[in-house]
Amino acid sequence: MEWYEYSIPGVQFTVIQLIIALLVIAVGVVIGRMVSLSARRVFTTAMSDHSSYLLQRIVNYFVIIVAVLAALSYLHVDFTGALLAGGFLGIIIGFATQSVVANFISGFFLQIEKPFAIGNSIKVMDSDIQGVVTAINVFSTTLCSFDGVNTRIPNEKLFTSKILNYSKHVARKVIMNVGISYKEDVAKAIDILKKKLNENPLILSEPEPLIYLDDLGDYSLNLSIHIWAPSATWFTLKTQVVQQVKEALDLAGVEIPFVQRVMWRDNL
Amino acid sequence: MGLFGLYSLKDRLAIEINNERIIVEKKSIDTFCYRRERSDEIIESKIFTANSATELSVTPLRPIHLHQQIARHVMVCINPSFSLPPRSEVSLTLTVPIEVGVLASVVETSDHLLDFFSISKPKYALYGPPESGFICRFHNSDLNNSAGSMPYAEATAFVRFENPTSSWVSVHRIVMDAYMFDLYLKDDIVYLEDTKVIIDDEKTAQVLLNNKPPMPGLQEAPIVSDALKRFRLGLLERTGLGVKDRFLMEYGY
Repeated sequence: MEWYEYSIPGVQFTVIQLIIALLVIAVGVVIGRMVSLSARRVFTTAMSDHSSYLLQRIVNYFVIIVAVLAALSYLHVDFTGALLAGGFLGIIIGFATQSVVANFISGFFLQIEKPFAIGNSIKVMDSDIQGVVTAINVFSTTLCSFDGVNTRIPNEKLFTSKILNYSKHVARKVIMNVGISYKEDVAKAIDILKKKLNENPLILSEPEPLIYLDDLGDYSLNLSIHIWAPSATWFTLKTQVVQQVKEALDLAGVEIPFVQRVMWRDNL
Repeated sequence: MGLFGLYSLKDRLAIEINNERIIVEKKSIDTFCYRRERSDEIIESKIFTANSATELSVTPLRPIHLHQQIARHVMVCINPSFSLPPRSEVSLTLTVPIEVGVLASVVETSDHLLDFFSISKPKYALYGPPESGFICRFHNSDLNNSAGSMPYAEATAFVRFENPTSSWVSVHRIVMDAYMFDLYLKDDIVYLEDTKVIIDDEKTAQVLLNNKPPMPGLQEAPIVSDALKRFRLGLLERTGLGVKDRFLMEYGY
């Protein structure tokens, strides 16, 4: 064997071949970086920041792995043993990292399906968690609950759960019921409520607010109020409307009855 | 004298626009106190610094600043609605809402929006279905109102409606992207840029804002703190797509 020839079990190569193999890897690293940055730049408008970063890393590692395999192949490295060992290792790692992989794959599909975005208010029905989405990561999604608590939910859990997204649509309905006394004029009460609600800028003019007599209750005539609001101000409006309805009816002298029971005693 | 325009900063400046009272008071050599009152109630109050070149500018604004996170479109409901025969066109006068802006202005530099308000009470409406529609600032406009637009609350819009289809159509409303509005001014009367509505079919129409004044002799109102329109205009010019801003009304008109 000459001074410029080396061997490790099963492989024989020269210094030149080793240098070329290292160059292939180095070029692979450079190309990987360039291609991944370009991919991120191309998809930056179509994807969220986080998704495009994830894509950049995947492309980068893929190109580097291809370069390493090409270099090893150039050095005539026999992969048979590695593949066999890799197969066993893969099975062991597969079992050990089942949930990690499931979360990763679920995260990938959440990115494609996009049931919610950062900033959306959502409710995860299965775990009864609700809040504003603050981050969508590779393995988990983070919510800030409405009482300010940071909550991490594994992506697999989210992907298989029923999710209510309160922010997906531009407008949402507020429904509330109010009871008025049986002695009151229903048409007049409806008119008073319509006028009052019309003063609130956050209540949409179209679709028009709908107020109707819904039920002849035990103690009251129950009016149902349906109003539409921009999703962004839905909660603000919901907090205002109940008070405004009460104030309007009080001001007009329309009685909101409380539960009362008339008792008769037989005069024996 | 009109209320829109430039005011030099003095020891005390008071401007009254309908029920809104703007007061600027000098606090020190370069510090001023800005205050807006409505029925003796202070609505807005802030301190700003200024040099000798600074002036106060009161100007009409596009209706996009109030409730900014809610709406960027305007829906003008036409009262009464009108019918347009096949292959015909008509020019009508409508009104659109505007806001009033107060700016600290230094010649040949950018302006700073100190405050904005709306003389008319804003209302909003949904155009289209909740899942894909638009929240719009809602405005009722009389058709060919002889009294003209309400000063400081509305801009006059000369709109040409074209119906190239072979059927009669009834027009109840138009929807526009308010970010694309250009406003023009003459003697405190505000005008919307030249506007055209083309009926495509029984449900769809295009609203074209043509980026030019509706008549000669008008002065353009400044676009405040928004590079979007300039960028878009530049893009339209560079790509040769024509200098028009187009909104497609796909949920009826």
